[in-house]
Amino acid sequence: MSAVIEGAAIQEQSRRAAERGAGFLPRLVRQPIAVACSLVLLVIVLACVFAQWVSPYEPLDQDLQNTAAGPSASHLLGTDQLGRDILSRMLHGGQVTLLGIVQAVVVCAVIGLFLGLTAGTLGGWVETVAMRLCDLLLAVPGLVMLLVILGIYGNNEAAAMITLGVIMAPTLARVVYSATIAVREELYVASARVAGLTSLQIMRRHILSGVTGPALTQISIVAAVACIAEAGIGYLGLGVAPPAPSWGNLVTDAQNVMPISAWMLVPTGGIIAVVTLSLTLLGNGIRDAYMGRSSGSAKAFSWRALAVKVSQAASPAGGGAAPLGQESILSVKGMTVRLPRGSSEVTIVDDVNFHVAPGEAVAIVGESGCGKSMTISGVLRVLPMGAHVAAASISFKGAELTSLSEREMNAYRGTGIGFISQEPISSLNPAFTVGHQLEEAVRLHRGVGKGKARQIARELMARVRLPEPDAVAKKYPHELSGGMAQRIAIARALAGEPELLIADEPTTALDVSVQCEILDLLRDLREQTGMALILVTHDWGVVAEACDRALVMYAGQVVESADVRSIIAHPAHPYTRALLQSSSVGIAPRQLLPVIAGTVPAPGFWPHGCRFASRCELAEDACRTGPIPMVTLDEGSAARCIRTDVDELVRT
Amino acid sequence: MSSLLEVQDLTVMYRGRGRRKDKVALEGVSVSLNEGETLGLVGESGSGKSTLGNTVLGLVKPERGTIGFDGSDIAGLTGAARRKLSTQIQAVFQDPYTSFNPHRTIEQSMGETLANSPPMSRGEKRARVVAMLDRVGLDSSALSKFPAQFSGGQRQRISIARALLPEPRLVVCDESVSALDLSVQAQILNLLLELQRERGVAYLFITHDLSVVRHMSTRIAVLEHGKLIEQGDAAGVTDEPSQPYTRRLISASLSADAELQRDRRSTRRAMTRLAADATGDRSKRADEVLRTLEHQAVTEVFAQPVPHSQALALPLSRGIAGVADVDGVTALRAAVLELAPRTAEAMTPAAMLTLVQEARARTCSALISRGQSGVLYGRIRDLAVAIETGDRARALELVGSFDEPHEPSPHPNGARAGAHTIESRA
Repeated sequence: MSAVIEGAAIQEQSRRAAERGAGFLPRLVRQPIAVACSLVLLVIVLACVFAQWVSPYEPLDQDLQNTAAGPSASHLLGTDQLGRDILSRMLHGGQVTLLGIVQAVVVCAVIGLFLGLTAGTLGGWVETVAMRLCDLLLAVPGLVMLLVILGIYGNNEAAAMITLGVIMAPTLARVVYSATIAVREELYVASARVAGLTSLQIMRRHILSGVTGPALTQISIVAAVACIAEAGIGYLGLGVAPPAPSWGNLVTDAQNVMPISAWMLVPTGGIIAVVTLSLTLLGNGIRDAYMGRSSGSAKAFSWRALAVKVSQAASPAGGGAAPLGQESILSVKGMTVRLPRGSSEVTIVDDVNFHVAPGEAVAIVGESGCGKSMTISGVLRVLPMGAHVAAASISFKGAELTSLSEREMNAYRGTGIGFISQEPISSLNPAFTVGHQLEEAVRLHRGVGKGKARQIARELMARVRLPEPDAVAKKYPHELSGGMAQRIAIARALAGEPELLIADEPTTALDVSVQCEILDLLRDLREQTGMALILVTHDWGVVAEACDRALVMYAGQVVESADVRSIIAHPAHPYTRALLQSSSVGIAPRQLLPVIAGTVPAPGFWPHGCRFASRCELAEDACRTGPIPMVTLDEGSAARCIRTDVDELVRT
Repeated sequence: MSSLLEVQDLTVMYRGRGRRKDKVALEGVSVSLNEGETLGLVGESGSGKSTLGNTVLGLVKPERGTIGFDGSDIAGLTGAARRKLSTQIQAVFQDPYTSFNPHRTIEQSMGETLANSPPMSRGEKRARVVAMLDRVGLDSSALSKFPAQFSGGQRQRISIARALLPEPRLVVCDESVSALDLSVQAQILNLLLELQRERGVAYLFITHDLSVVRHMSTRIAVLEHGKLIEQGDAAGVTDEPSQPYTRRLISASLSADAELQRDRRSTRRAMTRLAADATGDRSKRADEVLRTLEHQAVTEVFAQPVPHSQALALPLSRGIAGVADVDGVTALRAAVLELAPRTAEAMTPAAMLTLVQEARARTCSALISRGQSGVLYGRIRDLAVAIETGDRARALELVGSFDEPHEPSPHPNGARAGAHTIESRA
């Protein structure tokens, strides 16, 4: 088989990877705030470390001519009440403070990482003991402990900062522990074990890489807290004894000269604020770089950019709309959905036309990335932030949805149009019982009281054939099986008595026998209520079982639309045909399956001509020259292919 | 051929913590797999099929039982002894998105499976990785890339390359294609089949998808709630399953054939109506079930790669003389359901089967009393012809007309040709 690498798709993927794939450090360097903070910290640390050489005066040198003076050429940051140079005292005092921070951070990191990693990787009784130890340490009142230690060891900074490190270790240990168990469950750790790596190798290669980000973030916070704590100790006179400087007792000095000059508070307090702030912001930067998020892009913070835009486009020649004289409950004409990407927009759904007759079941079929879910999201207007829907018309029961405000649109979602999703359990709120959620939906959509809502909810549960509705109503979503949860989700969708139900891969996550029951249920409900159905799926079996008509989507376009039976028996578009043939049904066991070479081109990389041309065996030059229109074939069916005549030959 | 993997009486428990009870994931399961073959493991969620795979991989410790690999028991192996097996047993997992560490390059991730192979230089290792990537259709530019830079299908190719790198003899494929789109799935299945032919690797192929497992496997084992339900060669298990659970699984899997789906649905619904109807006119409901079953059986025959009417040959060969008595006619008519035994039986619970048999006997004696048994014989003979000639519309028309009064046949020529076929067969 030839390489599956397709130019457009790969370009798109490497572009995305340029953001996410590169290493942790390059991503950190790309964040201006993190870089600035690192530089500020570096300058301060270097200046303090080399204070002997950098500082203009000795910390205890007095210039009695200039006491409590403001900034001047000879004293850049002024002097204190004894005429000592504040800059020099700050640089020398910084040595004490920074050493304190280092002591606290090292102690905290060693204990926290050790406890967190061993508890997370070894599990069992080690996990229990380590975590209970953390609980115990967390229960110790930190401040009291610190004062007690200082009382015992008398102005011993090192003892105080080491104690602080110990006190803060459990928080770090918990962060590391939870990051470790999250990584431990990852499939790639299982893969590494299957590959035959030792536990130590797995810890070094996989677990540490997963823990580093959260741990660094937490450590930067520990450093910031240590900075403030050290200053506090100094301020209270419990740290290094004056006249030796530290950032804390400089603040005390500044407080003492306040009546004469308020200036001294600015540099002494400022340095603490700058260091703390830099550490915290650097921590944020580390977190963002770790999560692969590029912060600092101004566009993402504009509220206007977050709203979904809806506009009415000029009406193009609409194929696929309801034939004249035929009633339709939903009619979509020329709908295009664009999503923001960087500073521009990329089209995800391109000029889609379709209609749904009352009581009809329409399938939207296609592979992932072809825009089928985005099509229904566009109709329901539940789209990612900053999306843009443009359509000549989206009309539901005669109402033009494109002209509705967000609030008016709410009246249709759930009430006129019901929705069920692929993941039934995660579509329900885990904090409430399913009965409560169902009653809530009933009260919202039908405006009835509590008692009546409960009664209707029970009726709905009976209609979706849930056994023992009263017992099920008291359960939480996680206590239900996938099939039961999907029944609840359907019952909730029915609460608004919708005339159109949209189901996005409703059975993909379910076992085959449960899938059958759910599809039977949907069919029965349609027969009872006359409700129409749009079913998004990639499974031809589901299409054949549950739907009357099918739309096949490829690269954002509808490429074929026809009656289900005829589309399966006589697919007109080469993509539909290839997709149907990819299934192993009808192929002798263990023989190679017919495949479509290549991959679906990514949005933004669609060719100008037929989007399937590069994978199509029938493609000729005419296919690549320009957009291909929908060609009407027999009554009610159409395909976006100019070679359907040849297809006819291929078929027979 | 020698047995490569021999799992015997395997029991696995998941220990409950705190108030949670222990859970039996596998109970006394025995399966075997030959060198270079594929054992398909099927079952619904919670059936223990993944647990079995993970136990073979050493990720889960069994409570009891043995896992014979190449003649020696590997169930209790730990530490270095177990790690040494990594050159022999490898895995391709379901989710192509989480089976790679996002922070490590493809080269780093792939190289892992060579950890226990004989030591080799860096250049040698890279050459093997590149050759393997090339085999699965990716070029060497992939080496320095990160997993996020590839699509799901490409990542699954890399997973396969990674698993086959140390030239293992057994690869556990745990839902390896379930997360992929249909067209990508076909590409990956082909790749797995080709690699098996080239390298003689055996697969333990775990999936919930019956059509995939039927396509890939030489043998199939069916699991339900941690117990082995049945095991046998692939064609036997899928075409003539011996257990009701297997039949249920098969009949529940959807076909892309719209007519077949409609027939299966009608049968299901007719049965639901019959089951719900405690009093009333049960015989009428049972007749309806019989008719839907017969219609479905014919549709099922046409859904097979090569439709055949062998089930009808023997009863038809007994000839027209046999249709004088009720037993003969009933046997002939029962043969119609034998056209697609697995689906018809699968859909019929035992209690209902009796009702259907009664309905058949009742309608057949009615036909005899009306003097129509010869007509039924003719119709079933024509049905056999229609199946052999691939005339689906005619076959469905015939199967729907069993209980209708006699009318002149619109296809006299077809009937004659058909009689000829049947005679030559007999």
